[in-house]
Formats: sequence, structure tokens, C-alpha cells
Amino acid sequence: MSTAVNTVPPDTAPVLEVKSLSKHYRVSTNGGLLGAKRTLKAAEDVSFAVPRGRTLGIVGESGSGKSTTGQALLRLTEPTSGTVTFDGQDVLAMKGAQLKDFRRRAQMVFQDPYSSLNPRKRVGETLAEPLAVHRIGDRAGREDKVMAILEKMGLRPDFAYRYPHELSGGQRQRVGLGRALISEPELVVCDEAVSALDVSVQAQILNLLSDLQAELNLAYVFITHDISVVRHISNDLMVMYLGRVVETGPTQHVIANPAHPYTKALISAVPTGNTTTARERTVLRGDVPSAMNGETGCPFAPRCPIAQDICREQAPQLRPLDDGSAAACHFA
Amino acid sequence: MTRNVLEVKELSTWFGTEDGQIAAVDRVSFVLKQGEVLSIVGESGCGKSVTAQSIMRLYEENGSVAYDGSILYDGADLLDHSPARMAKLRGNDISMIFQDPMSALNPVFTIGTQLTETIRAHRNVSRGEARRRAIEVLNAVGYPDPETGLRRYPHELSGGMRQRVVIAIAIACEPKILIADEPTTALDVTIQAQIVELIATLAKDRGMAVVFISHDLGLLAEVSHRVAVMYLGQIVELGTVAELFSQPAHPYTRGLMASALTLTGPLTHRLTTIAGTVPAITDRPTGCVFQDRCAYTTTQCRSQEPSTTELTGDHQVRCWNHDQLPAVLEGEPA
Repeated sequence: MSTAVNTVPPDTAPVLEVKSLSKHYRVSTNGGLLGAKRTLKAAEDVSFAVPRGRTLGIVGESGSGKSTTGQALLRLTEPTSGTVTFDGQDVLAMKGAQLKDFRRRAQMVFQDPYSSLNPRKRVGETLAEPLAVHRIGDRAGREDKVMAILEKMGLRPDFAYRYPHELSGGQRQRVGLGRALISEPELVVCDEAVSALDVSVQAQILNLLSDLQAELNLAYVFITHDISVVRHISNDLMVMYLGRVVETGPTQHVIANPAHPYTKALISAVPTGNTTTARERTVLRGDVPSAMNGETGCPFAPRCPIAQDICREQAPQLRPLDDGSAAACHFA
Repeated sequence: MTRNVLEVKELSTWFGTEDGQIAAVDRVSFVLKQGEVLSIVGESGCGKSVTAQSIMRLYEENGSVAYDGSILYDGADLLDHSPARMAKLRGNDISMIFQDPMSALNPVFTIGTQLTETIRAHRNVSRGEARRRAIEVLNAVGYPDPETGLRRYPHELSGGMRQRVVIAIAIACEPKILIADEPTTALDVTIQAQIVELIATLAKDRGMAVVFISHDLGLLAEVSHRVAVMYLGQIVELGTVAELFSQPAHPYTRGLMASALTLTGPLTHRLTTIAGTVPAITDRPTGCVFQDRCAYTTTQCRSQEPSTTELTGDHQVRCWNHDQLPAVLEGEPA
């Protein structure tokens, strides 16, 4: 099996580079069809790069724009502005055969293994579909590939003949992962890929993801709301709030020394299981507001424990800190 | 500590299936003390929710559902009550909140209507008095501007606010027992922290006993006094939070703790997992329920069901080999 991945020498050039990516939606403010329209900035000015064999974790709550970012970079939704470069090619300019090839080389794994598999298709058919779509191999060759990917996912060969309803959540997520990997992609976007799973199964899937990355030199964009998952899987971490990047840097460093008050709050919201010492916890007041609000000033100011007047007047820019990370906070 | 408000003894809940009668809850016993938060933890399919719903008797006994054992509350067995008497207890003496606050609220009625309906169903009070109490209880759950809140519909609220409303409805009649079934699973992490604190505070201030169901050991460690670990319908370990976390005695408890992701524990290249998955309840093995996923299984485990061993005061475990497990956990406890 000759793959593009194996022939490319290890290089430092990122396989994926995203610059100033934005996705805006026009929405009516009063709920009516004819009401005044306003712009909802689901993702605004998002930039990052992912080298081969590395993982970028994107963390944030509902409405932070993390899924929008993942979908926009794969062109599952068309970005409003910005650039996406994949292996040196401009993704947003791709058409026809080139775009189709991009769709083979960049894959997505979804959150819910129940709704992302076709209930009327056997696992084998689901796994073979990307091969048929991209005209990879002949009938016999495809069958071999399906059996090989099942083995790689830790599923017995007879699973090829089963329907999704016969599988557990963890097994379904293995199928979803197998479907993403069977076309030998170089980039996989995992959108909350382990969030619906039980803890012990979550650990199994995370181990599988690490093994596959080491073996296939895959680049991952790992989207999650759970910062403790990111700690175990990502090299780099990007924290989003209301469509904007608020902090980014090497994962272990950011978790040990969070610079942005929102990152601090996210970390302190993770239950420690420590029952002996009452720890200091920053419980944020209020909810995540809509991305339509906060036109001026820092989007986090209404919930921020250290907000000052300047925060409500002037939006902080993402600026590099001395330690190799970057944060968008006047006081970082 | 204080008196027991609920005593569950050898409770089994049977469901009739194509494969015959199966016990989703299998001889479960525990007591609930006044003002205490008792957590039930386990993976999907371990019977946590069925246990909670059996206490509320949400499955009506008919051809396909049967209960066994007893649930003593206020000097009587809930399983002996008539459906009408049970309906009076629900929401008044024992309340329940569910995982998804959207489906727990009626989308076509205002928050006010749904709150006062509950109050007036159980208390003989005027509309004005019910409204006054509704505002009071919304205040208690930290709902900002309760007067306006009464006129809102569920879809106008965020997930966190909806869950506050659900909690307000549950505590409106000052129940003795609150059952919270994964109340924060559908919420964002920062909102989860708010809701968990709220439940702990309400339990403390009102002397209400709480059964807190969760799959997240880290989360429940912060709110509970005692924890019951369930696997395949059985309680395999029960103890105070301190006992359970410092000396987990059942291999399943240890597995859950080791596979939980933390921000503070050692960062290993490979995460610890529990081999395999929870089997279907119809495939319950003879002997110990955990035998197929356990690293310490012996022939005795495969033939004979472990009896409950009392370790210290409150701490009990169902494992034949609990005293032969390695003394110290690898790495830190979760």
C-alpha cells in the first residue's frame, strides 16, 4: 500500500495553515423573516498551523466557534474570509477534481456515533463508501481494505456484516474513525469525537487515536469542550470564546500557566476529584452571551472577574507573550 | 450522623424482554441520611437511572415490569403505595431532575405556569400565594430577575437557566429527597460548576437529602458525602468519598478512577483503560458481574457471586479478591 504520507519526509512545514479565518452569518434580530439583519460572527480572525504528526486542540464552550472553525477549514461551510492552505495548496480556491482530492485527504470524525452512521448500511458498506466515492481500488481490493481497517480499529472481521444498532457507542466511534481513515487522509478534524463516550471507552479511543497518529503521521485538529481531554492528546492548545481565539500556546504550558482569565476559569471548572483540600475555584457568573453582542470591547468582559473600564471600551488583540504562548487580554 | 430518610433494601427491578425476565437493578441496598448527598456512579447501562426511577416508581408495575425488595420512606414501603398515593409523593416528598432541561420543561407554557402548577398541585394555596412562592424559589436557585422570569418560555432561556428552573420546580414544595440524574451532563463546563454548587448549597441549607447520579467521578467527589459504584445493576462498592478515593477496594472503581482524565495527574503516554465494554444486561455472567473485564478474575469469580464484605464502618465491597489487590494505585488516585 503506497501512501503519500509514507513517502513524504518529515518536514516542519505545516500540512494545514489557517490565516484570519472568519465565518459570519446574517441573522434577523427579532426572529421574524423581514426583521433587521445583523451579523453573527461565529468565528472571527482565527489563525493557526498544524504540522504533520501533531495535534492542535481547540477548546471552548457552546457558541465559542470551535465547530464552525473545524467545518470552515474543511469547507463543509464556506468561510466568509481568510485563507486555508493545505499541503501548499489554497483550499478556498479548489474546484472539481482538486477539491475532491482534498476531501479524500482531509477527513472529519463527528461527535455522535449514533447519528453519524447510516442505520440501514452494514458497517462494511459504510467503510467501503469512501473508497467507491474516490474510486480507490477494485471490488476485491476494497474488501481487503475494509478488513484491514477493521483490524486496525480493533474490531473483529465479522463486524463488517453488522448494522450500527448492533454496536456499542465505543464500537460505533471506531467505525466512524475507520471511515475517516480508510481513504488514507493526512488531516483529521475530530469534533467532540470522544465526548459521547463513557470514561473507560473514552480512554480506549484516545489511545487508538495516538497509535494511529504515530503510525500514519496524521495531523489532528481536535475540537472539544473538555480541557482535560486536550491535555492528553494535543501538542498545542487554542482556547476560543465567542468566535475569537483568546489564548494559544503549547498545551502543557498553557494549562500550567494560563494567561487569560477565561482559560483560568475553564481549568478551574474541571472537577479535580480532590476531596481533602478545598480549592479555590473561579466559578464564572452568567452564561455565554450571543456572538452578536459585544461589538465593542472584550467579548469576555461581562463574565470576567478582573474586567476594568478599558476592557469594555477596547477589544484586546491576540498578542504574543514572553513564554511562547499568546493571549487576547489587556492584563495578560 | 442523622436519621435515615430513605432505606432501600434488596431492591430489584425486573423488565420482561424477549429473552425473559431481566433485573436491570439487582438487589440494591443503601440508606440515605438527612441532608446527605449520596452519589451513584457507573458507566452507561449500569442501572443508575433505573435505580433512581424505581425509587420514584416511574415504571408502573404491569405485565412487563416488576419490583422486588422494599423502599422505606416515612415509615412505609413505597412499593406498597397505590398509584394515587405515589403521585402525591412525587414532587412533594421526593423530586427528580433530569439530564436534559429542554425536554423536562413544557415548551408551550411559561416558566411561571409550570412553577405555580406544581405548587398548586401539592399545596392548597391561592394563585397569588403560589406566584409569591414561585418567585421565592427562583430566587433561591439564583435566577436573575425572577418576576420577569415567570413570563418567559423555556426556549428563551439558556441551558444553564433552564436547569435552574427545573431545579426550582423540583424544590418548590420543599421535598425531603431530591434525585438528580446527570443534571449537568448537557451543560457547558463553566455552567456545570455553577449548577453543582447550587445543588450542594440547597442540600446543606434545606437539610434535603440528594441522590446524585453521575458518570463523572471527579465531579461527584466534590459534592457527595458517600458514593455507590454500580456495575450491571449491582452496587459493587459503597463508601464515604474519602474511603472510596483513598482506598478503592473494587477493581471496577479502580479502573474508573485510573481512566478518568485529569488536569493534575501524571501525564502518561498511554491512558489506562478498562478492557472491553459493559456487556448487555441480558448477558450478565454467572458469578461476579465484572469478571470479563477484571484483571484479577479467579475461578471462584466465574462460579460464585461475591458476597458483600464490610470493610470499615460505611465502606463495603463485593469482590472476592479485594484484600489481594495491589495496595497502592499506580499513579495518583483520580
